[in-house]
Amino acid sequence: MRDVTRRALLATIAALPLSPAAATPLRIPTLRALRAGLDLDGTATAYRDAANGLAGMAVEVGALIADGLGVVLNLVPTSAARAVEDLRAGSFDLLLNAPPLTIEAAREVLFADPYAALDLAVIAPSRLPLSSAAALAGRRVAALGGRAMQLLASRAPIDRMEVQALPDLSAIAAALAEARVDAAIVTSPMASRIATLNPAMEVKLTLGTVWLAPACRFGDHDLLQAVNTLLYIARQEGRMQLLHQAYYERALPRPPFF
Amino acid sequence: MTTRRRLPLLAAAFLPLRPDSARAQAMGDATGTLGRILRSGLVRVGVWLEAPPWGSYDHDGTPDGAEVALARLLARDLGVRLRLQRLAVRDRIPALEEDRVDILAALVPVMSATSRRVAFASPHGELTVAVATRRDSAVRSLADLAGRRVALPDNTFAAEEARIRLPPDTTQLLMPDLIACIDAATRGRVDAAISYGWLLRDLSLSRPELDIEQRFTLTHAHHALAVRLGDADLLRFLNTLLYLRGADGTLAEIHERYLRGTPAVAPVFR
Repeated sequence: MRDVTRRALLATIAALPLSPAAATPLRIPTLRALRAGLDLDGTATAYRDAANGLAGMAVEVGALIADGLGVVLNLVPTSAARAVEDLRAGSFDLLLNAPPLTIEAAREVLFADPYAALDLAVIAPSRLPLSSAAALAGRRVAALGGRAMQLLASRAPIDRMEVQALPDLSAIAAALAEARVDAAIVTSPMASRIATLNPAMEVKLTLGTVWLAPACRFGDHDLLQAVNTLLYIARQEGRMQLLHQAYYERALPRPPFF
Repeated sequence: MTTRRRLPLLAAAFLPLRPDSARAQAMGDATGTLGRILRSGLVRVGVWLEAPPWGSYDHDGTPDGAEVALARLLARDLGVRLRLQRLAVRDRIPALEEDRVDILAALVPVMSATSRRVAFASPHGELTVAVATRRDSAVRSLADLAGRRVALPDNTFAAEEARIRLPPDTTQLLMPDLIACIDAATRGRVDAAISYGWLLRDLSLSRPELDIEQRFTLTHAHHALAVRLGDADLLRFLNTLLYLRGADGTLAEIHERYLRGTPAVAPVFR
């Protein structure tokens, strides 16, 4: 019994993730593969194509970064709810579709330069009149849970809305279809996907820009610098603009100074 | 003590701390000064309060100005309390180096000499120090100011720059503020006034009858937040903050409130 307990405890200790403070920064020259986290959210950012392969803007960005580093890209699945924790626990080294860029999220991870500029959209049944953010007051509104909720605070009257945090796109689409909520606040690719699945839904208004960017762990500044340099080169060559247009059907705006 | 009793203690020693709140857990990751700020719940920002309109006092004696407003925004976005540390102009860089402040929001111009001592965030503003004269003045260049009387606004960045650049035989007259300098020049009590480009532009629009115009630029500089060298996590956080607050118009609001007009886009660098 004693041995069993001892072994169990030692196994528990061995299975524990390294604390972030103890983790050493990634060394680019010795890197053989880029372990990149991907939340396959089913939008133009990350989805499965007709051949069951991984596709989307985030996948392309991962490929161009790995290519620029001259290493293999290993995509590691994660979810919106777990992505930041998985990154910090060392499950992967770069999070491709991190939570939208917010000040709050920037206290938890190092954001690289953005690769996408999307709208924060309000989607609702076509019959529902919604002409401004103020009209959301008193409504039941769905939104993606977790850190994506941080986008709402400065853009919608959240204290006067009944906000329902849902885990993913399919849950939000179902809540809208079953009239459990009056509207949903999501990024524009997610709104497009919901409208495709359910033509009775339409984008009513937008609540400003949402920036998407890869993210690294705190302390990983060599990787951050390499990612930013490769993103910069892709913008200079026009590749990023072409990808953005192809996946999101809108131009990548010139970002504000950074 | 048996092995079985010791093992839980051993395990506890290896277990990562489990903070009570998600916020506390998030803080644990950041290194250097950013980690310390988030853990302590306090950010110490060095400001220069003799540099209106970037740093001064309002009518109630409360620190005010564009850089002070930015310091308050920083603390709010970090989610921590703000301690404003008033610094003399020459004490700004030493205060940062000696860890008396965490961040400088003190109109620190981005200059090569300074970049060897501090790490600059993306510039968030620019300033032009200019020489203004009456329209019929013969002054056309810095050399023309030799032997002449020039009004300097006391305790300002403009005055600091002018002292460095004016010819040695210029008579420098310290005035209490920028308007007093302009007034002295328009009345002919001095040959030129040291001022800021934004103020002279504003006067040319709002008071076209004033006999004053910008003759030439004395110096032009971008200014930026500064942190200690090696504080890469904090620097990246600041750049992210400046990016988002530039995008959502908050920086433009601060600029409009204190300096009027739209801020020029600063150069891009990391």
